[in-house]
Amino acid sequence: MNPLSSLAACQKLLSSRADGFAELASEALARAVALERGEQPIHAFLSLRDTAPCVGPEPSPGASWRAGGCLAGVPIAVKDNICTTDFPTTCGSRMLQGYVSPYSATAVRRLEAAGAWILGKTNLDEFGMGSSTEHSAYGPTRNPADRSRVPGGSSGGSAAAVAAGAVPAALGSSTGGSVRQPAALCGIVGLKPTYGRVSRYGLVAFASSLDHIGVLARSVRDAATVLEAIAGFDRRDATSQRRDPPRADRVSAAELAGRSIGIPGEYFGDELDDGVRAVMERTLGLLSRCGARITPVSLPSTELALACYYVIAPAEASSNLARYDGVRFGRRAPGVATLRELYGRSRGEGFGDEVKRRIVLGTHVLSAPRYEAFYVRALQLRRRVGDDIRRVLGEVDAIFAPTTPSPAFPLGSRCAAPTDMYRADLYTVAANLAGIPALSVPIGDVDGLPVGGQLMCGAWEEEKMCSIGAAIERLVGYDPPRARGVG
Amino acid sequence: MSDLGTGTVIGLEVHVRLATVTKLFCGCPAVFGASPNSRVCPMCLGLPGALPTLNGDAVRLAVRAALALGYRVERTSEFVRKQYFYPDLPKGYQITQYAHPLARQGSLRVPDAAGGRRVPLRRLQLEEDAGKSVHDQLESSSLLDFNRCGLPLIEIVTEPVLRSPSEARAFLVRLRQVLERYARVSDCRMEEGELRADANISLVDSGGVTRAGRVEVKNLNSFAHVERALAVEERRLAARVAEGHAPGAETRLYDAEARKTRALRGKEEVLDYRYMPEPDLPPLRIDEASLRAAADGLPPAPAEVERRLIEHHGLSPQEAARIANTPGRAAYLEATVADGGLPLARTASGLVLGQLAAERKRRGLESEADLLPPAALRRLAQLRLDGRLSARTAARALELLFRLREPSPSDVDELVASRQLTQVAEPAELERWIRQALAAHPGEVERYRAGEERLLGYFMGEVMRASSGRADPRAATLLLRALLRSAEG
Ligand SMILES: [Zn+2]
Repeated sequence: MNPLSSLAACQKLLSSRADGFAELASEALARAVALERGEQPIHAFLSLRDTAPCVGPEPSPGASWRAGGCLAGVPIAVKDNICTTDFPTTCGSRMLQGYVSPYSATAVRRLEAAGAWILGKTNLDEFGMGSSTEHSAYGPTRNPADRSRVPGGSSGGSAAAVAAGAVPAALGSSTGGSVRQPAALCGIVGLKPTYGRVSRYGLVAFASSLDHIGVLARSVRDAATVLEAIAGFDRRDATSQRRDPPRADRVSAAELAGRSIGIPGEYFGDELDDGVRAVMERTLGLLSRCGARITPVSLPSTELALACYYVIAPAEASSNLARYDGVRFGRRAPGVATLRELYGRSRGEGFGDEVKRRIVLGTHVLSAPRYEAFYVRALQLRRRVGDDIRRVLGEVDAIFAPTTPSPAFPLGSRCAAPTDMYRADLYTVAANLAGIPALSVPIGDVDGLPVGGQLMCGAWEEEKMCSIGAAIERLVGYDPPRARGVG
Repeated sequence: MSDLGTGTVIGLEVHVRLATVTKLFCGCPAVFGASPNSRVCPMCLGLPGALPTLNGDAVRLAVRAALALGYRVERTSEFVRKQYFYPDLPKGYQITQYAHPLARQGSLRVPDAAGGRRVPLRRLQLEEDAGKSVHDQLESSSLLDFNRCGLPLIEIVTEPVLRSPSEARAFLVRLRQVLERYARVSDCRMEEGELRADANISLVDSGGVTRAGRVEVKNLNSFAHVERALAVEERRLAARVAEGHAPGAETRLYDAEARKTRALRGKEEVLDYRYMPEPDLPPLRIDEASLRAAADGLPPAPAEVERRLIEHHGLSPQEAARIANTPGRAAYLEATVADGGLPLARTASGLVLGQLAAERKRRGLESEADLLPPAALRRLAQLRLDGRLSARTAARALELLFRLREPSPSDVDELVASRQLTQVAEPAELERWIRQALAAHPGEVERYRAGEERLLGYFMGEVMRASSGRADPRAATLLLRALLRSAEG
């Protein structure tokens, strides 16, 4: 049994013998290194610890109230757009090749305060822009369930590392679905908390009003435990809120009976893959047999949400990425003669095509002649998306829907048509636009390709959402793809 | 081109650095003159992942400035990103305010010949400063210092209503007085960039139609430069109009040495700043409590103080302006004279502006009140007003009083008595001093008798010396004349 398959398995090994940590750490490192080997490497990591230390980090004294030290000695992976002083933070971009942040993100510091051992940094679509992890300057990550397919994105490296059993949990980040979508495609759990729940300090900004740090794990309970460790107000992030972290010990899979679950018709349209539809319908059958009240609901703004997202996210991205100018850090093109050339060449050589596409798009929609028609309208639409969801969530305990329209797609199949790629976010962007928590839970597979079901709840209702998620997890009994090809 | 009766219209855009301990959006110390790039952090360097957190003290000072300038402080204001690329702007955008500024509709009374003119102010916004580029130290590259980056600024924009370069200067002098001495929100040292002004100037015809401009003039490093640059530009525009041109909008740079302006960029290159809401900062809300805290101890506006000094205490406008220079001095004078009447106020004002101001300056004190309590000054002014002290003995009394600790009115009386400083108008005493003076200068007496009457002043000086300044000048003059005449006879 892989001791890295869950927090409980880690703890079991750690407490069973004195050198438990050394063994767990070497095991994690060996598994992570193995992901880089072979003809079709998974390539989940961009950087790793050199060696496994003999003695694990102690949870800091202040951490005990928060996480009970329950991450003590546990190897965790962190997406490479979250700042760490121990590893480079490249954001999957040539622009930040070798860049080491002088400070660590609040989420990372809290993980370490709870005793976690950061194993390495994981691959991603450049600056989080993508849904397949193919837009990394350092090569794509492959899906452990099928190496010819993408792991989803942009937190594809974190999802693959967890799915392949190198770590029990990883931090990811979500701007439009980048935690839930790769979790669904890799057959694991992806948790995106309420906006303001986890400090964004040290998360390299893509679209600040949509960016969230989230958790990828193999069970809802583990995801909730990691969330508890990293959540809470941070004075360094003016958008973080003074709310007590959701408690993992309050997550209970006990009762589904009487829960009302809203099923939005708009998430079951033509674009939904038949196999995914069948898995969803089977799951709904299981839910109603357990006494959950399945209620059809309507989210009419679903289709527009994606359009709205692809105005707001690039607009903010064009602004957030202006700082990569070759002046103070990161890539500076050599031998430039003028300021214009310094900017043009540093950015031209440092950014990949997808990033450039979004910067151009964002610059366009923020330009004075187009601001009202695009940006202001997108903001109005964003309010409508939120209002729609809140109205529905006033009537049901949770919204349940597929996480993605289709399972993992083959590498390279969507790179030529960016808007096809964008449709992978169709079901996930609404929760980011509304800032509500959302959770993807594995609910089955289509020909061996994992399928995720997505729960959305009201703001700050992570405990309820995780309880329903844990119940679904138990009901479905889906076996994560731990053994396929990676041991 | 018939109507050349053009008038000048000037608007000012002023940036003032708030005197906070730390920067606007990070904890870096806000100090001047530290070694380059020693006061920086991930936030003000724009490093990946860093986030801004608003400095509450900067907000308090900005609100205080707004209140001092009669603005309406908005309950909710919002930050935006103003985007452009420049190496000293690390994030690629400046965090500022735009559609929803901190305050709107202020005004400032500027003194003029007609007794003051109200200049409406459009808006006041809170924003961060940029870094500093140094282009002239290395041959082939520029240097950057980010210490200044993120320092808190307020931007104050006037309506374009100033009518002359000198009025523009007077506005700035008044603005500095209010912000530095009254509201105490900034040190306003122009040479250190704590107060920076950009000006725009247009020529309009009598119907208010623009004939030339609007020209923005940059690089104005002192109030004198502002006035001179605008005068230069005013003449240049008038000459162009006279030649039949209609010069359009442009930005020009003032060259202080050449006393000329030169074109910087024309209208065709207007920048699109792509303003967008700042997603990292929630809207700024100002509640009653923070308004009250910001207004704590805020004195009335200098124009108001001056009006009171003139109307209530009978000072001249020039005197009132000098007394109102600092709110402390005005308060000191008002505490001294209370309802003592106009002559007392003028006498006290003379003492404050003369000897007290000089001594305060010499000792580097905050306020004249630190030299002498108002009650003691009032007693001294009263003695002077009653003619019991001369200008000279009053000065001597002040000198002695400065050596005492917190002297009371009775200390003043005691000192005047013990040092025999009171004026003497008693004829016998005066006659003794006069005869003494005349006896010592027989030659001058002869010349006076021969008709050299201007020697009277010389004799008065001698009498004053003989009396140690105690002789009542009016009585002594009368008696001196009489004695000189009687000696003739
Ligand atoms: Zn700083």
